Amino acid sequence: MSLKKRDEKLRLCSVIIWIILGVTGCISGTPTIKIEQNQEMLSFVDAFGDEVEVPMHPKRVVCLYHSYLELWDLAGGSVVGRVQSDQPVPEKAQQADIVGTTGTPNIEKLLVLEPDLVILSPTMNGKDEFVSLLQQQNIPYLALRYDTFDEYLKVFRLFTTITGRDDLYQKYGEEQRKEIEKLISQAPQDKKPKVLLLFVTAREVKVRFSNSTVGSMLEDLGALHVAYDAQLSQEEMQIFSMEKILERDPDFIFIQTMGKVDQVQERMKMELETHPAWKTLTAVQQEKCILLPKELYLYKPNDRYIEAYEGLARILYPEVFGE
Amino acid sequence: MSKNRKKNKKIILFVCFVFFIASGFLSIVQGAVYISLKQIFHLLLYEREGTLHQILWNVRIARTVVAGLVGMCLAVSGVILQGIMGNPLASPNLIGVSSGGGFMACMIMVFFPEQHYLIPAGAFIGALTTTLVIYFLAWRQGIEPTRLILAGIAVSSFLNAGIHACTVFYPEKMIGAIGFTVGGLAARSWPDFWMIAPYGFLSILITLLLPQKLNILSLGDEVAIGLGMNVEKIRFLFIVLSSFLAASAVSVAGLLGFVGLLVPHISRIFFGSDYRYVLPSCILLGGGIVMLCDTMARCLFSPIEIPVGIIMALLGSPFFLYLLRQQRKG
Amino acid sequence: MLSCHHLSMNYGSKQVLDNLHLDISKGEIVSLVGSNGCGKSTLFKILGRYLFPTQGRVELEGKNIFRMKFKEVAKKIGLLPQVRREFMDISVETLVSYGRYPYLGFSQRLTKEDKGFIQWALDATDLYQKKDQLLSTLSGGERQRAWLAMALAQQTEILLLDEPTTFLDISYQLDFLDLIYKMNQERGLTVFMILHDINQAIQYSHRLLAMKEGTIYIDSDTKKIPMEKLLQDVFGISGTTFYHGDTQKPYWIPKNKI
Repeated sequence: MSLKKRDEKLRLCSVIIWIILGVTGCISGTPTIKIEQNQEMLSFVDAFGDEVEVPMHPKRVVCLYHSYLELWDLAGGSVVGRVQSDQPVPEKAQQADIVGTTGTPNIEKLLVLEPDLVILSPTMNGKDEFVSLLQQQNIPYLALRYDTFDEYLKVFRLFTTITGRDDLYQKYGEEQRKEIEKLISQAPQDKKPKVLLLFVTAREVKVRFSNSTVGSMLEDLGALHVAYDAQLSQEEMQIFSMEKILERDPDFIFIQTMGKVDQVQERMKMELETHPAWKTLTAVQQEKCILLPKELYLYKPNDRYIEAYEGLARILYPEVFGE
Repeated sequence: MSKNRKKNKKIILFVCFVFFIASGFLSIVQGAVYISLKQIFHLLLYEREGTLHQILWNVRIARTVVAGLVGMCLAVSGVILQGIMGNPLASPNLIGVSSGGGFMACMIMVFFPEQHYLIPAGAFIGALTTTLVIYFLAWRQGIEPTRLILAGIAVSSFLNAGIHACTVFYPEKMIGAIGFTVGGLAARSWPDFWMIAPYGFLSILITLLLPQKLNILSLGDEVAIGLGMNVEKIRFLFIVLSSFLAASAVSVAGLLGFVGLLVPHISRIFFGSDYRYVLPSCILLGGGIVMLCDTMARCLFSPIEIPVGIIMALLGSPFFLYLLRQQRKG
Repeated sequence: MLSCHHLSMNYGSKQVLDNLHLDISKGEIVSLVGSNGCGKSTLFKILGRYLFPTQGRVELEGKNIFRMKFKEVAKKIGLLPQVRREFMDISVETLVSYGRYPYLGFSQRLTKEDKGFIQWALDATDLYQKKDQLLSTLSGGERQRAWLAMALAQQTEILLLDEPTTFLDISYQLDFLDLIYKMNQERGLTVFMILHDINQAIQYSHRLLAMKEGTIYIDSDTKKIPMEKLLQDVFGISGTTFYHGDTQKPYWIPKNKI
């Protein structure tokens, strides 16, 4: 399905169903969807703030951002092309051709596959040239990003609309939403534990905020981010003043890292307990520093959101949710 | 007339000293958490416990000290290299310290992400090893500075390409690399200080005993040999010293540019070419400038911190250009 | 005193010095001339221990200079090379003081004796008045004298000079050479210098060496130089030779074109 027929179709269309998803749609990258009644094309405002059109039921999809591959798969979609990644690959997608890495997709390999839809992230390298190339070739593309659960729902809605699998949306979207709401309502309203969410790589410790996946989950569960005033921009993470951390003394410190938890656990504990500044924190002394497994908390939880929420709830409120 | 010149130099050196102390003082007094001067004295002398004391001692003062030491090491490393290469564009980057340290750090980030605590030691070893490799590659019946520079550029380019290759092939693992490549002092504390203090101070001390050798080496190899200096040996010694100093700094603060290249120049604008003055002033200016920039990095957008390398590049270059213009007039 | 035996030097396939023999006796002034590319600079660099010869020995009072300690050699041989880095912002006195480097101990402090020699060197080169001036304020000739003073402060028995007068004005050239001559006469300083002006070389030395294709082609007392051979074979020029009334030494002028 090419975009050439777009104008024609628009003229044929009779009823337009508007699903306006969130005021922050353009900024956060979650799409504002307009679905045309005739079920052939779908238009929405993507993460670049552009209004784009994508075909319904695409047959040759290439996903250039691995984290979205799982979600697309969950929505019942299949791919003919994907990118290299260390993360687990859904079974159906394992046959797909590899067209490069997340940072640098190979244009030629992509074009050879003759895709009818390309899924990408707004933060990829060289996106301007890439997007204009896709536009030149009349290849429809989807640029999105999602972090919070609400954003996940919106994107999942979009995907399942494209694949026409409303049943999957009910299963992995609505059902999860209900479960999570139930969970949140069970959380004690008055406790408001202070949390610090860190992303540790190499020699850098950066703080993440309530706009991140785990950050928003914690906030949903009633926790307060110690780094509430630290967000300079739309950036996901920032270096935060150690002095402030000491001053605000969080109750819990959640740590995300690229490494495998069991291998890093011992070492991290030792580092925190011997570092002159970190070791004075309440959370360190009371052993409330939690290393979050990356499968559930670094990568998108997707169909395991409920599990992810439960995990955090158990840590924050063991008296209610058990250990 | 010479007495006046000597007196002037001593005065300027004293001003450098004052700058150093003032920077350190400012760094201790300023921070994300407000602590008044009176409180500072109280916390240092009497109340050795409690959150504020922790903040002051383990976070702020420790970081100040690390910043000062890193600045000193980088500045001295740079001035040594400029002296022995006879090239004003020489900096620790040339002897592969930055690229060697960075490459080793990358390797650890990519292949041993769980062992990220190894990065400082790894960067140190990587830096030193790279220097030695460059030295031996450039050796042919002795070292000619030009050959050393060329070998340094070649090896550094190669390693830098390796670092970039890592960001292409392993983008997820390299997320944290940016901080390292720009240079930062976040969350540095006493353990970092003690890790580099022995090498740093020892190297600085040794260098302070040797300014005359640098002076004579600066006159050219033929003259230096004619005066009885074992040029190869002395040059090797200086390269090792420079590498130790820069490696120490890199292992703690990442690839902090600017200091090694420009602080020696600033010093030379004030003092000319006599290393007996240039050397101590580099120590004071290097330490002072890094402490000052780090304070700004911490405080400008408090409670968020910016990597100190960015501040230094933004402020340092215009200031240096200004000095350069002043010199041309006077 | 200073001698070279079977000295050869090649860079890859290029033979720069070929089985060269050289002998400089104490108290002599010996000049070396030759056209460009004959190997003069290479010879100088080897004598200055800056290069290692491919073959052969250089001996100072019988000892191989490449086996001696650097400082030991520096106390006996002083150098004024052509290639050096000049820092304009050091004072004359500072530059001259560097000449005492071989004698300084670990502390690098100048003793009274050291200071005495520095002063003497400044006097001898007539730079005492200007000792506090920066090198940048001196004329070309004065700067060259300052470097000479540094070599003199080194208190060596031999002085090696590589084209010390090439870039100086004629009056400075003669001043400089007069100074060298004076040092030789008054203090017995042995001098070996590479000069480009043949007449100057002859007038100011006891012995003249001429290099051709990496070896010493002519080695002669300056009163008895075979001038035709020198001009023709070594430089490929023809000239008319005259003899100086006082010194009995030859000097030449190019053959008249008109």
